[in-house]
Amino acid sequence: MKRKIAISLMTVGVIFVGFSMGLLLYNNHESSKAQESSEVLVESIRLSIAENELEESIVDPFDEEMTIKEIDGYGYIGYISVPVLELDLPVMSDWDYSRLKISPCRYYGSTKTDNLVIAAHNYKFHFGYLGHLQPGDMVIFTDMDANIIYYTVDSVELLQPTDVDKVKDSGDDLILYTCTYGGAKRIVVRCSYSE
Amino acid sequence: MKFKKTVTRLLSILIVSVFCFTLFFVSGFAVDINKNGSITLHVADSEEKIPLQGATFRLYLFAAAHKKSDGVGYEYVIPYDNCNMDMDNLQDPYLPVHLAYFALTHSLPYTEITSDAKGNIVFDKLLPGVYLILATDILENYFLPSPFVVNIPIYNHEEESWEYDINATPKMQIRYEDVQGEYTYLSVKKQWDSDEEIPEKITVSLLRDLQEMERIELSEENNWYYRWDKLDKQYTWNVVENAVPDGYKVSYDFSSNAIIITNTKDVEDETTTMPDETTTDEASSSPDESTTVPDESTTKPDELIDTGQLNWPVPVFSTAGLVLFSIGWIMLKFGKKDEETV
Repeated sequence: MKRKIAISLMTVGVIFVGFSMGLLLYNNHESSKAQESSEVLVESIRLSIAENELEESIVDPFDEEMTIKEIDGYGYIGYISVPVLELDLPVMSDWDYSRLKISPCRYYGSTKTDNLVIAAHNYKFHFGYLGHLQPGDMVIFTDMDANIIYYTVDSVELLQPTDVDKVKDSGDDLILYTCTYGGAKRIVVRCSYSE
Repeated sequence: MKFKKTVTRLLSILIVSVFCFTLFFVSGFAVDINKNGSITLHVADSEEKIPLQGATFRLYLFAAAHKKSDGVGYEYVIPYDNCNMDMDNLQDPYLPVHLAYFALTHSLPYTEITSDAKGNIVFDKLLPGVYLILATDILENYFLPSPFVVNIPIYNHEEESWEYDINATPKMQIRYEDVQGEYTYLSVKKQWDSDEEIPEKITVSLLRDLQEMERIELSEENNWYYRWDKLDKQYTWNVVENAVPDGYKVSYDFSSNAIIITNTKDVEDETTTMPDETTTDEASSSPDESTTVPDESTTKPDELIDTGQLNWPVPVFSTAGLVLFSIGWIMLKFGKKDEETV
C-alpha cells in the first residue's frame, strides 16, 4: 500500500514537473517568435520611413492623429528604441491580444497630444526587462514621419491592473508598460521629453 | 511508527493543499450577484487634486449582471437593448458616448447627485450590473468629463476577490485658457458591413459636451463623409449615429479627429424579423446572439491590458512536482529499509 502511494506521488510529481517544463518551453518559443517578427518589422518600418521622407506630404496642423503605415496587414505608428536594454521594437497603432503577440502596441494617446502609452508583452525581447530601467535612462520613439522624439525615464513603478486612470490621465509624455512575471501587477515606466 | 505517522500527516496536508489549490483555480472565484454595491466618485481637480464641490453626475443602470461559470456576464436591460450597439467590449471608449446620447434622447431614468464639500458622490445600494455615469453640471471653468461606465462587481487581482464598492475619479481638467479662439475639426465616415441592400442615407449628430448641435445626412451623394471645421477647442466634440437603421448594429472607430461609424447587419435581428426562417431546427437550437456570453474583457473591464505570459504555473508546478516526487522517493526508500529490517 505504502509503495503504491509512493509511486503515485512520484508519478504526479513527474507530471507536474513535465507540465511546467512544457509551459516554459512554449513561453520561450512564443518569446523567440516575437523577437524574430519584431526584428523584421523594425527593418520594414525603417524602410517605409525612408520612402516617406522622399515623398512630399501635406501636414494638417489640426490633425492630432499620428501617421499610420500598413505592413503585413497591420497598421504601425513607428518604432521604439531603448538603448540601455538594446531594444528596437515596432509599435502597432491599435492593440488586441493577437497584435500583442507580434509587436508592442499603442494602448492610448499620441505623440502629438503628449500622452502616448505603449503596452507590450513581458516577453524577454519585448518589455520583459522593462523593470530594469532607471530614472534618467533614454527612450527614443521614431514615428512614421521620421520624427525622432527623445524621452527620459522619470520613474518606474508597479500599478494594479485597475489603475487605468493612472496610465491614461497621467500627464506623462510617454508611458511604457507590461505585466510583472506573475501577471498580477503592471510595471509602468513614465517618461518625459528630453532635450 | 512515529515516522509513518509524520509522513501520513505530511502527505494529507500536501494532498489537501494541492486539491484546494486546483479547486481554487478551476472553480472560478465566488461571486454573489445579489449583493448590493456602491460607486463612489471622487471629484477633484485632476492636477491640483483639490476636491470640487457642486459637480453633478448622473447614474444610469444599462445592463444587469448574471452569474457565469467563470465569473459575471452582463446583459442590457430594457430599453437599452434597443440602443443597437453591442456590449461585447465594455472598454470600448465610444460605448459610453453612444449610451449617453441614447439615455438623454429617450429621457431614461437616472439618479443624480451633486458632489459634497469633500468632492465625494456616493451612489449606494446598487445591484450588480453596469452603470453609465455622466456629468451634467460642473464648475464653469472645467471641461465636461467624458461619460464612462463602471461595473459592479469588479475582480480584484491582488486580493483575488470580487469588489462591490467601487471608487472612480472622473477627469476634471480646467479649460485651457490658451486655446480660446482656437479651433479643431472632426470628420465622420460611414461604412457598411453588409452584403444586402443598404439604406439610401443615415443621419448623424454632432455633439458638443453631449448636447446635440447639428444633424447631417450621410449618403452616396457626399460619399458617406462629412467634416466639421472650426469646432471650438474649449469643448469635447463627438459624433453619434442618431437612428441606427433597423436590423443593423453600430460600432465606432475613432482617432483624435476622425470617426468611422460602421453599421453591421445584425444576425439576431434577421432571425427575429423573419420568423418563418427561424423555424428550422438549426435556428431554434442555436443560442440567441443577444445572449452571447461576453468575453473575458467584459467580465473584468476597466483594466490595463494583461500583457503577461502564463508564467506563474512554472515555479508553482515544478516546486510542487519536486516535493511530491521527493516524498514518494523517501517513502519508497524507507519502505524498502523497513522491509529489509523485518
